[in-house]
Amino acid sequence: MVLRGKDVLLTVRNLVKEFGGLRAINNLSFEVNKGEILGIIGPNGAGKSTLFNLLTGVLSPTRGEIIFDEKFVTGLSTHVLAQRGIARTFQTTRIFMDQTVLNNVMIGVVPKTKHSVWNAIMNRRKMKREEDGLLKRCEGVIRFIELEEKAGRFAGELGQEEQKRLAIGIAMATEPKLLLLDEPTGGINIEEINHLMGIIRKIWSNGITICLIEHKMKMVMELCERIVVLNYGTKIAEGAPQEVRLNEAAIKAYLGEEYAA
Amino acid sequence: MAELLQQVLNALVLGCIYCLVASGLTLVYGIMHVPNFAQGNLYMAGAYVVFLLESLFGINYWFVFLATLLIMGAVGWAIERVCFRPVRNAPHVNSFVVALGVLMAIEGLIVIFFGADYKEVEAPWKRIVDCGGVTIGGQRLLLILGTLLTMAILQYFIKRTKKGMSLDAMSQNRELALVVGINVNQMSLLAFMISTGLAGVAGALMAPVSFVYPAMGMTPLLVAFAAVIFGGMGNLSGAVLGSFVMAGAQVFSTQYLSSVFSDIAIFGIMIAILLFRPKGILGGRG
Amino acid sequence: MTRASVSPKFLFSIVGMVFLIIVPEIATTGFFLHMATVILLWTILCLSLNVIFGYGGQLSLAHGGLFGVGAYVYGVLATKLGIHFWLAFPAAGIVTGIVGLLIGIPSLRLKGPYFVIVTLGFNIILVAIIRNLTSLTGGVNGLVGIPGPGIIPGPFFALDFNSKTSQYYLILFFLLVFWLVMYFIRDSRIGKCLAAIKEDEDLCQSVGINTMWVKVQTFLLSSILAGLGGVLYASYIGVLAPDDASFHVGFDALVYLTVGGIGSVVGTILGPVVMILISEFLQAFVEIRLFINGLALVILIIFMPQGLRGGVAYLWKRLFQTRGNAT
Repeated sequence: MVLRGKDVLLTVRNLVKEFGGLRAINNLSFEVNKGEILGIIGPNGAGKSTLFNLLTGVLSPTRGEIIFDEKFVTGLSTHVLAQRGIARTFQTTRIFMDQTVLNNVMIGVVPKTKHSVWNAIMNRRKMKREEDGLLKRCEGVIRFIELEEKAGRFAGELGQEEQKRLAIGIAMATEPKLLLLDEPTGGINIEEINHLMGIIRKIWSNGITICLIEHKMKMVMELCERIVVLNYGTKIAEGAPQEVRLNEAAIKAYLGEEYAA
Repeated sequence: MAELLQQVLNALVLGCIYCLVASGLTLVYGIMHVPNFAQGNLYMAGAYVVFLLESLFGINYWFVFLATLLIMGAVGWAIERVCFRPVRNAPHVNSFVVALGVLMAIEGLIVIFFGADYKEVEAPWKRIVDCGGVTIGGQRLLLILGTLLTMAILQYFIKRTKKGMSLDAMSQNRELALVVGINVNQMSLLAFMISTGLAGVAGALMAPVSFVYPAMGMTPLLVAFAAVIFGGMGNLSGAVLGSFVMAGAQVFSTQYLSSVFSDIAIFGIMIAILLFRPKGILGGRG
Repeated sequence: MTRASVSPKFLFSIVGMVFLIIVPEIATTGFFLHMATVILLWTILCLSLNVIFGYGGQLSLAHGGLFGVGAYVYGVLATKLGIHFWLAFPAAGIVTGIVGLLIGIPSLRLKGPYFVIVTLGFNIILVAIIRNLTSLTGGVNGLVGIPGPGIIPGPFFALDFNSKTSQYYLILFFLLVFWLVMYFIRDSRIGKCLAAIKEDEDLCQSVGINTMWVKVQTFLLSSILAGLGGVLYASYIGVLAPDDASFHVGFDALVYLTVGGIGSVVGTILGPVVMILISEFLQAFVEIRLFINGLALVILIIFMPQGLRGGVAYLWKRLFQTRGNAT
């Protein structure tokens, strides 16, 4: 039983990102509540991926603040934010093709353990003793993303949708509080989309807060409790999917936009 | 005062050499994304080709110069096709290693055929010009003029000819160039041949000015890298500016500190730029 | 092949180890032993490069300089301050480690070719410094009369390292220790991190790996190993010159490592063995060495980037593991 209070996990306040003369994110403010699935939608170029890059420290904001878990995290670097509990997947499925599925997930598990050169040489026994525990965690994640049969295969051998699940698995292995998914269902068919949606729901039901960038309105309507609509880096609508659907500005932004149902 | 002018002149002469070498370096990097470590030794090879032709056949320097240009162009063709093209799609590091291998092979070949001792090439124009207390040998004047001419031709080629403009476009935006159908193979080959030609010209111009010896390419290589980084990788005018800045730094730190410190000065600048202004002072495309 | 049978790799390692141990016995001439010792020293340098390049994916051209730093620190401590080998050895390692940090921390922030160029620049600076500190390093004349490991007095017997044979064993001992360290790193968590960083550094950061810290540690270890190799070299050869720290030394190490197999442990000794033996056979043509090295580098990286080790592994698979092949 997971408590879904109205606690705020992430606050974005007056966020601005400029690239030279171009303003990619324009005074953006919104909140993500603990345990919810928030959708981020908008036409291409609206700044959705840029937003994720700002939230994960890949880019630093020109102005504004980001507050995560009640602490100011603006300007912290990517790995620090990941350690604090913000995990993400990328629009292009990024995994370690040359490694096995198990090793892929293991990379997600390792950062929160001791992994220095010193420990590799001097503390071998202790490291070995912990290996079992780490392996169990990996297996847990692999079971969760339903890739048990392929655990020993190389990531490059997996199918498209399996690779996407692996990418999510790697992010899950870091035991995040907030999971940012950047168009997790790009380029796969309906069956696979539904499967992935099921996995995302599973993640959510485990109490992890999710922020989801998506183009497919069906997914957004079915999965997200709330949506934020971006256009030209500005928030033009926010609220429950049904409300936003009727919002004029949101519709205007999508005029001429083709998206899969 | 005359002393100072003399030093300025020295810096100018060195700057010209570095300019040619660096231009080739930055061109190849902009197009092929390969730092051609062998560039310094291609410069050295150019000097040796001049030495060989002149001492073997006793031909007029001018013919030798042109022949060297052609030979170096052919060498560039061969190196790109045989050594760099096969690793085009391999991990980037592989092309670094190839470049180092070519660097070593060229020096090794030269040492086999010519030995390690210093050679001399006769200057075609032995006049010494005196200019307000500053003396400049005919060959050094020739070097400066030759560099100006070469750079002018290069500039014309890049800005006015179709092939050259494709090269320019590609160094600015590789993906777009591919999309509009610019032939990567052709462009890489062209860039590399031009680069080798530039190195050859530099070597040919320098040969009568100073001694010719196998290790003569290393310092120009490293200064050229410093110059290219100064101006931003892929940025031709940046490389030119950087070359003269570095030449100045080298000459004046040698004069007022010591030659040891001049090495440290140049690399200090290069490292500082890489850390604080990685896109170069002028900002590159790389 | 059942689980119980012995893998070819293991067998080969045992045979190789035995061979290395009995070399002084079967060495018919002092020269043979000397060559074997030199091969071991090169192996140590190659393995130090392998840690940062093979495992870490970063091509450092500073390792000739780091090797030289270790050698010179030992040389100076031993000749100018009369410090005993067993104290100077770790001291030189520490100093080289510090130099490694000074080089690594700024350089590792840079990507790809910039890192290579900067490390080359640092090597040049190191040599310039060595040339310049004449009172300490002897400048261009270098150091002479550097003592070997000498004698360690002990409670029951003294360990005498004055003979060439004992020096060979001393160097072999450290080589084995360093190889062990390499194995530990490769199979450890940080080894996995390194492999992952090589493939996709940004992805590693997004799961929380402080990639800079990982790379710096690796470079530090790599520097210390190179420096300790330098100490062993200085104590064995007895003389030093600034050229011993030149980037050409680093180039040669790169050649040997590429020949042997970048990223493999056995490659670190395979390369030096092959290349040094070849250059011995071409004794009459000393000038050819540089050309052969360059040629070998180009040919190998194009046709056999995994080096001899990779080539042998490939051949082995083709010849002996054709299970499941319907012909």
